[in-house]
Amino acid sequence: MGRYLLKRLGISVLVVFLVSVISFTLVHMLPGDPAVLALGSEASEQDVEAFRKEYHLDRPVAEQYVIWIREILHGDLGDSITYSRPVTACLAERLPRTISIGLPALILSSMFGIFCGIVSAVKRGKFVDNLITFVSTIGLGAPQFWLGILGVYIFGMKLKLLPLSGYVAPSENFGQYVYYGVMPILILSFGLLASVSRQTRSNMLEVINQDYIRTARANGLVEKSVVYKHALKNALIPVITTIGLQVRVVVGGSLMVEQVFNIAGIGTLIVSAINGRDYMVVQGCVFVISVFIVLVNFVIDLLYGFVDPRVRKSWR
Amino acid sequence: MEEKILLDVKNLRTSFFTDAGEVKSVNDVSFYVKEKEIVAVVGESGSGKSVTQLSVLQLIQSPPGKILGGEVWFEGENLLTYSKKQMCGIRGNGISMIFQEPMTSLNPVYTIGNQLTEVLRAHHKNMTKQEAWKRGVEALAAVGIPDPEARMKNYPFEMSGGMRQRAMIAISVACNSRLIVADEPTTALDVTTQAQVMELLLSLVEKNGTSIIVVTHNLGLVTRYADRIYVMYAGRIVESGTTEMLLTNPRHPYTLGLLASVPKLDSDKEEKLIPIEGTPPNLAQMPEYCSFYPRCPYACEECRQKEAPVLRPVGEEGHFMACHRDVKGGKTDG
Repeated sequence: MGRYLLKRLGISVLVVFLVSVISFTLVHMLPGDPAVLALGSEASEQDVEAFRKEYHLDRPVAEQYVIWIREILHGDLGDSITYSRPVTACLAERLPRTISIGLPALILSSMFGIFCGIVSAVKRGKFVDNLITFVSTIGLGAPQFWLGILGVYIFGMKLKLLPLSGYVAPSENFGQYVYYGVMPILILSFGLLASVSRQTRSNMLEVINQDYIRTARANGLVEKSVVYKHALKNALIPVITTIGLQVRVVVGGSLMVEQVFNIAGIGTLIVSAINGRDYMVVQGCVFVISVFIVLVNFVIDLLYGFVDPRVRKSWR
Repeated sequence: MEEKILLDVKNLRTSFFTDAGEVKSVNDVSFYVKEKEIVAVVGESGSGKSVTQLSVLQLIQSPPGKILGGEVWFEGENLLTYSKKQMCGIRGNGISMIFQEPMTSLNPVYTIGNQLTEVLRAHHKNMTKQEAWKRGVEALAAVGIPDPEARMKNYPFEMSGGMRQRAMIAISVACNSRLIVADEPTTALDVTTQAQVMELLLSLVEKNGTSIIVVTHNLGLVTRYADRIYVMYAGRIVESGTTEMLLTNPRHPYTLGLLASVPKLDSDKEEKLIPIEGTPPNLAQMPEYCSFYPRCPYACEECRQKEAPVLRPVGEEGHFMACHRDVKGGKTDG
């Protein structure tokens, strides 16, 4: 297992490196001068020069990259141009908010999605199955921003059950956190829930026809054991991959949801940083997010081995 | 000598309701298995031989399949009147089934030990994990798996096809099944392993007094092991009798055809294999007359006009066949 892990880890590091190069290059290709944007078009030549020097903007792009990476290795993501404070401090402030919305959405949609998928498969062709399929299709098809606006309109403006926007940290007041958070979390989880449920359903139906399921039945195991022990574990192996891939969707979705619900998380930070050509913040956020995604994929790979002995064996 | 009948199936009928119409896979099939007997059910693919056995255990997927009628008497009880829960108590415990595909018949994500002990504990509610494990190890040893203690911790993919088939048999041995239904147990195995698995099944009959039904298309294989043979064609039994009767004195044209298409290794003459012409009939569109008529080399106008033939005694006692004509060793006299 050691060798496999090492190899996998090496690939992860390579991916992070490539992402850092690409994100760095992309940000620097954006039109517009951060110095002018930060100081205003009225700023004097000397001020602009000094500003450029301070943020190493006068150096060649390749050198800037090396400086940036060197600082990252020292745990420093550089300073934000617009906020005049370390990017790490911005992230430390914003990240928990995004996580407090994204993580519940991920957990909720995975668990509920698997549950719906099983119910759908077991009750195949019945009313429940059709209902779940119908709702899932909406979940897969409807864009999140539209769902967000619709949610705000119905539950916020018409029924006045939930707030229109805003955010309260769970550590501050948990009740208020749920009150404000429930709609963004639900909207964020809807699409993922739909795809997990669809995939669980189709995997279950495929697995149910396998020979070993027939064996389990022929050996007198009760249907509960056949479905929940023998079929489910096999059906869930590909679902793990889906959930892993969907972490990206949740990260991307939080960008949108934070805008709609006015939550000051990573998503809003990136959007405003791009508008303000805050190179360091954009690079830093993209870097942190990519490391996170790579890590998630790594964990998914480990999980794969955990549930599938055949994969585990191939590691040796 | 009066031997006890263990399984007695009477007039079993199973159909699949498909878009193409009703497929009568098992059409009024009756057979029995005595204690310590090896019975073979022989027929081409699609003859209903597997579906018959699955119907006995009520493992037919429904829909589209449905058991329409008949009786399945096992140890004095009609299994067709059993509830789902009662049937679970029979499956794997009274009657075990072994399937054709040892590579895919065990769950790939659980160890052999896990799957073995699970079945044991499903049938013996009071059995502890340790007891079940011990019984499992014994069962693996009994089916000739070396180093059973270590094999219990293996996953199916870590074992060869023959080993897996042995492990499947071990599950039925562990539960002391009275009857093992082996559906093409050796088809997916290589020839040497085939013989080993058959010998193993044979030894179970002698040691544990188990009865065995072997479902196969391989007539050559079963003639060496089976006490009696049922020949199935298009959802019906067309001939039955002791192995000796069927081999030395086959009466049904289909049995004759089957025998002619089996290669004989012990013959010194170079004999040509004679295949049965045509293909098995479409079970969704069965004619009123004999279903073998279109392929039968002995067919005459009478066969087409009369209704499908039913089993009738011929020759020695215990020999039955379903043909209007009487074909003896390839010569007609009726």
